Amino acid sequence: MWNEPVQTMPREQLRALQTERLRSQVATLHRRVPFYSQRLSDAGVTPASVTTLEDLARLPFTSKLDMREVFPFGLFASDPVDIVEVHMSSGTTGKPVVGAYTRADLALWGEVMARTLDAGGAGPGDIVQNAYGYGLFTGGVGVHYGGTTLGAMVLPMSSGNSFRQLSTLQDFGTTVLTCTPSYALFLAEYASEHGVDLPAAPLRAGFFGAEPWSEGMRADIEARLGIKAYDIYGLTEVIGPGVGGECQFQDGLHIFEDHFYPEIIDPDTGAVLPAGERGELVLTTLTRQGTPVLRYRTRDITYLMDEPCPCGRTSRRIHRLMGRNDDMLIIRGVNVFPQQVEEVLLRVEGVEPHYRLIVDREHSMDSLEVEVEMAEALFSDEVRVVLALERRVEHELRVTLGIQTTVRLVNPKSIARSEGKANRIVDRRSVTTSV
Amino acid sequence: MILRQVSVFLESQQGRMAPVVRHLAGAGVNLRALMLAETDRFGILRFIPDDADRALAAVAELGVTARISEVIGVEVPDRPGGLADILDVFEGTEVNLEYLYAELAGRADRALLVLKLVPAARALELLDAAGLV
Repeated sequence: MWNEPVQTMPREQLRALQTERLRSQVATLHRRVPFYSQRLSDAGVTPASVTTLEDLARLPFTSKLDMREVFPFGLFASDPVDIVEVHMSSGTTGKPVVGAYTRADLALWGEVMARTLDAGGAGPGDIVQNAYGYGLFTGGVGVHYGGTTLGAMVLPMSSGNSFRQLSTLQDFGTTVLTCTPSYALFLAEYASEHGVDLPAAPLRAGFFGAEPWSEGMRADIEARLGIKAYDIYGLTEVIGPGVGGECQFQDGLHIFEDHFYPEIIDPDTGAVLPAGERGELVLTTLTRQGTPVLRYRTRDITYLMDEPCPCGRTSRRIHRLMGRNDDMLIIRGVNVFPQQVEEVLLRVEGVEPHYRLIVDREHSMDSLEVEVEMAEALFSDEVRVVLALERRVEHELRVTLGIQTTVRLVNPKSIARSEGKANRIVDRRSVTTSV
Repeated sequence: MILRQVSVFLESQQGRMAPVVRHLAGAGVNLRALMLAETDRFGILRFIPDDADRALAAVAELGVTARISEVIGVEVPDRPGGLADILDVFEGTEVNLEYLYAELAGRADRALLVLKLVPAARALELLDAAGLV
């Protein structure tokens, strides 16, 4: 096991380590980040009063909105001169969330991603084909650091270009695939269309995350690729991939809690819930230097599993994600908020800001269709005028969301006006796990 | 001659046209000419009713988008080359033909063609000069 002494540390010792790190992290945030010193004093908390892990419950939460509002440098807890890398994830309304990494943060990232890959049995000698996107997105680079830290041979493929993915997989005898679960299925289909027998290939494990997927999809991936498929978890606001992952028992994701402290809260009251009770996952970084976060509300719904795991790791696990408590959609690994769609529509002349989002998975690829009400005044007897309007909306959406959509114009007032947001979204992917 | 055309936006789902046509019939609107233009995402139903205002009001009751626009009607003799003679008028001019369709009920020796020509004013001048309107 990678870094076995730490991963199998007795719980009491782990709690002592977490407590010490929490105290230090809170003191740093108070001293170096005006946003947090303000928040802490608003909550009436002095760093000196934080002495146990239970004190965490008195500390303020951090939301995605908070992080966006202080874009780009507002959460830096290190001198910018010590920041060596930056990543970003999409924010709700234009401004992204920034994650900044010092050299120590990058080493930490490599460490926790190495644990993630090791938990699924990958190691030196493995050929890791990394088909997560490289760039500002944390997926590609994070997995890459983990693979090299672990001592595996990493093929930095980035996402897309299925022909090349498949030929590389055959030429190199790839043993480990890392990508979104939907892309894994897409690749399986692509391979069978090209007469490639993936189950017969050396490929034996895959690490999939960055979008919701179900047990049914896991079974599908495992059968069609002939591999073991592991669920991994992470988010830019905390570090990227490497917050947690499944071990060989595939029963919950171990959270690397010597670095990322998990809590489950009641999303309505904010109260901390005991293990086994379902709620929103909240994460506190214990060792980050660049952009540490205090009680980050992930909006992901799950529960904590504190029973010992037969693998020997003493870290607690979370059940694989059961949904979200906001209306964020994850489409092909990209975060999409309905509010972004609304903003675009308000900007485009000729359409009304009334819409319905239809998310589907065609040939294992997520698709987003946007139904938009046409403004009466912009309707034309000419087909090309109406088509041009559709294309203009598609273009604007692509620029803002970063993904291709299909826009379908509908009649004015034909989309139900509802108080709730849920009615504006039809998700046909059915990937949420039933419990 | 100038004709008042009604265009109706049809969403892509099946069965969108029938209620429109049925409702027009209920309102006593007669259709002289009609054409359905379709793409894979939507359709536009265009027609020349006997009373455009009444037709528009009827369609509006269904909550679908519609508008009245002006198109040009030309009577064509019922013989080979009748249409070609008309299109020849615009050869080498800046006038563009966006679409055309024909009357539903034929007459003995001539048919009414509905043309969307752009720019319309110049198209009328040319047709007039050729003695076709």
